[in-house]
Amino acid sequence: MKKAVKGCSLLAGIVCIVGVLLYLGLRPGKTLFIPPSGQPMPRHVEYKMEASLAGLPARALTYEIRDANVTKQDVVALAEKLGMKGDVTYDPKSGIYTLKDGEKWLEVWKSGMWDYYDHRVWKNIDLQKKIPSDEEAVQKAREALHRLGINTEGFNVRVVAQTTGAFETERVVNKDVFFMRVINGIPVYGVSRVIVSVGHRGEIEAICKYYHEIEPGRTVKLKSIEEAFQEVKENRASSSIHPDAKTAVITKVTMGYWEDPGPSEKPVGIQPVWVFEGFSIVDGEKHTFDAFVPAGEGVRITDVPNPELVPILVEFR
Amino acid sequence: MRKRRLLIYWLILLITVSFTIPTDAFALKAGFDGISDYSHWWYPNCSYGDRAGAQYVNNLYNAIKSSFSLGFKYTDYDANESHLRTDSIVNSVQFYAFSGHGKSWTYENGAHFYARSTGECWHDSSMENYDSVNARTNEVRLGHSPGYCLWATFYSCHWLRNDGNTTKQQNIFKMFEGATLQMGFASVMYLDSREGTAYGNNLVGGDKIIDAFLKAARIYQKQRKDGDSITRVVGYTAAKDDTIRSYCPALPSSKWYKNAPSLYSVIVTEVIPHNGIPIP
Repeated sequence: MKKAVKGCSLLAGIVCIVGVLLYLGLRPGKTLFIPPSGQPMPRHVEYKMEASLAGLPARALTYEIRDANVTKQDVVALAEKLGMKGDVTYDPKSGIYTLKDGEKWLEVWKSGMWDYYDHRVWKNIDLQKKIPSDEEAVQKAREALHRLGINTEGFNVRVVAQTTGAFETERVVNKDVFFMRVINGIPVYGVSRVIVSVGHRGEIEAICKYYHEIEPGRTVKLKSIEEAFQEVKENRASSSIHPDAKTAVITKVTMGYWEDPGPSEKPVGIQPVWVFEGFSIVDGEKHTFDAFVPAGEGVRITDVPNPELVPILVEFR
Repeated sequence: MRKRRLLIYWLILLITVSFTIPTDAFALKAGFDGISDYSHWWYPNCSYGDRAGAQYVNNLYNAIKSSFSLGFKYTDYDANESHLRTDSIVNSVQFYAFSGHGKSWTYENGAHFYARSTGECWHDSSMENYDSVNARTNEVRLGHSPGYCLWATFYSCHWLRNDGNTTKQQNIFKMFEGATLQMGFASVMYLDSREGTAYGNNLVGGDKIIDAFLKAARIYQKQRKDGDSITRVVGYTAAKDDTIRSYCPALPSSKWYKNAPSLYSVIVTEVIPHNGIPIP
């Protein structure tokens, strides 16, 4: 009997200690995965805030990922629009449908992301191609997306000439037109984009649709700029600051959104982030950088996507 | 007659045994160094911060293990820069991948480790440029015996950047002593361990090695406010269409870069741009 009482007391004690620890904040809090850069971070930087902080929002609407639940029929329909035929296979482990029609490959994620590559021409550096101007490339890309029913109205655009060779042998092999999503004038960073690869005389070599369909979620309170700035100072941000920076000036702070590509154990949705822009002077040269901090109140950055235990481990360090 | 029957029994037994003994299932071997912990609960920390390097190589290995035998996989405190200088390690496998911090100097780039190759499992902020924690492009040589490394991937910043400097580019090319392709970045990049799974799935799914790497980067490298991610593949130009099932074997010394520089090139450079501008 005594032993049983002792055992129960011990158990109760352990439960109490665990309860206190949880109360003290060792619970996994809300986290957002914004990958950090692979370059070194400076050990200590003296930051100076010169940005105007007027007019920054105190609350923001989040967006939920709409459940695309892609079916085999959806893949076949998309393939037809792309001029492809063939059998669709599905890999339940990765959640990806695949259709291969000769050198044309289509992969569709259950979440609604997809990419199409014509390997006959994409990254084929043996071909002599006549690559269109940036304006023509955008036009060709928009026409291709229009045929697929993808509306990029209001997206930001960037054209990048992709190359082979270096120095005097460098030449353009295709142009990638990046369409980047904007919500109510606020840019969505991360992977919220469609990429169209345009090659010889405007031929479409690849299309990658990496943004998800979304719907409005809930309005969340944002952490103060002071709190977010403190996180930048303590290296609890995803920053591209120069590794040898000793001092830095923040010139602009804006609110943006962040879209994660997945897959994740839980749907992440589109979350607000504070974006700090600034510069540092290293060896007399000016180096600009950005630093991203989750903007939602109580949301912290995590360094690997999603696993439930990671926030606890991060807290212990 | 009896002897003949005995011989047949022995043959049947031999054939059966040869099918049941576990063998080294794949012709190709993979090896990895991945660092997530640049810190230690007891020892001083590297000042650069933790990254998802170990998770990346774990994901990559899990995705390709149906096609590769595991040569080695060193993570965190077990990974050190001597692995990239030791033929019996890096050149014992055909497919090598590093993931962690990357550094860039005037004429060379480096893969940064937390453990020192002198034996300690840590380094502190005063040691960031020590040789014992950085494998430099000037000292890595890929493609030697015993296993003749063919393909190396550096999922880290800067490994293939040349800053417009031909000496720096040559120091990259000089790493090719039998190996054919190196995949990496010529800029700051962002570590997302899921990119390892995508890369591995592409390799096993039949993509060219180059395409497998580029396609994964197109998904996972981020658009930001400042700075593009620059993905790059460098190597023996004739190997550009290689897949893990059909590829150029390790090259004889007559075709190493130092003896045949015209056979090598920056095969592709692909920019993942930071934020765009509004469409007019």
